[in-house]
Amino acid sequence: MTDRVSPPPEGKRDGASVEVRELLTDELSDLHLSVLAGQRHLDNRIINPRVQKPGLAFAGYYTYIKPGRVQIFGESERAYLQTLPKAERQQRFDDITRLPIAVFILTKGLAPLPGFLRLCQEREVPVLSSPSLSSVVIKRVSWFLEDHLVPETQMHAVLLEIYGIGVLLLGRSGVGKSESALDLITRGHSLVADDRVSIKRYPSGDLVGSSPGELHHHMEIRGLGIVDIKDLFGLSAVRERKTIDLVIQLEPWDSETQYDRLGLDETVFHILGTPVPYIQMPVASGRNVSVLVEIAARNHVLKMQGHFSAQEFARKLEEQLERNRNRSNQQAPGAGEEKSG
Amino acid sequence: MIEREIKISNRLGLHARAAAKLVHLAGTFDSEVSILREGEEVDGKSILGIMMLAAAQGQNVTIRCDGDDESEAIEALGRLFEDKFGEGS
Repeated sequence: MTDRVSPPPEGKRDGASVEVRELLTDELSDLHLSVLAGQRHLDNRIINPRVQKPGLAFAGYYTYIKPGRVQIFGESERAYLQTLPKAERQQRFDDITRLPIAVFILTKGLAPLPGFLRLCQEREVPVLSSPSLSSVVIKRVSWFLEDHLVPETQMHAVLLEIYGIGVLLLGRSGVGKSESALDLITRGHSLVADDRVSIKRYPSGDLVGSSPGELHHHMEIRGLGIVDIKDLFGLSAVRERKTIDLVIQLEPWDSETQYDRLGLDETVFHILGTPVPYIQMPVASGRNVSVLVEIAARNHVLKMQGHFSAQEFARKLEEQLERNRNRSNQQAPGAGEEKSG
Repeated sequence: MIEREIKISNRLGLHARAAAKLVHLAGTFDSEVSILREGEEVDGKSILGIMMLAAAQGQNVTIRCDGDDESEAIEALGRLFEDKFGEGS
């Protein structure tokens, strides 16, 4: 693959973090989290998606308590602490709450041990409580944090699902991205995001795009204003998120630019450092852009299945040329070598 | 209208990338450009047409140009063939 295009990523966000208060939003409503202490310090930042069980720390070994991580305070921690003499337990609480802890989550609806909440309140460590089991809390919180702590960017583009593949349409304002998208939706494809696309890079390497904020399935059509695609076309016309497989750049036809005539070379476009197959598509009057985008998607599906039409065509032609060359050599021996000899 | 017969000298003949170079160059002229081989005539600005000729090394083709800039066109196209499409062999 050649790499002719690699613009700098837009608004790349690294060193991401999540505020403790974000754990209390709707996404984790199934954990029924409530705040027991540190109400005023919910802006503490979680920077690592891996949660910790601070059992060893309560036993006096503090080395592995890492800043910016969620500490799950479960039944085993509580049971162990209850075996300690009261003064020693208070000492452990005192030592631990001095560490840079983002938040404690008490699970299984456990009642906090005496003195713990007061110390956390003083040391500005929020304490949340959930009636769910530790295993459930760990799984859900880890999932939530992984989703929120991966690298993310936003791009001015349209993201569609066409024949099952995610196609990101790029192009300057007014080049006809939204109109093409609308045309593709009427042809039975689905819209993921229009205008602003939020893109996350997962550890698997997948680039997943979705609509940021409250824009979901809304589009702006010049002359009509804001329309709701889900209301107009139904559920099947929209998707929440989609992995990006192909980037198509729509641009006004420029007679000076040498457009790809063969499709033998594969170009990539970098998003958050990940290369994605890229097509530069000139838009001129009389060209039906949505049909072209649809064909590009079909062709990409073929490539993913191992059928590279342009390469196969070129290979057949080369075989034919080889036969013709041999034939012409037989007719006029040495003719082919005439100039090189 | 002017014509010029030329022998294909590059080893691969008029393969895909050579055809792409040919149509790109032909497209820069206003004149109509045709390529002829053994009685077959194709549009010199159509990549599929050129490839259909399957003109191999050692075979002759005729370049035909017709228009205001026909002499510049035939000169430039002839050079591309002689230059073996920049392939060196």
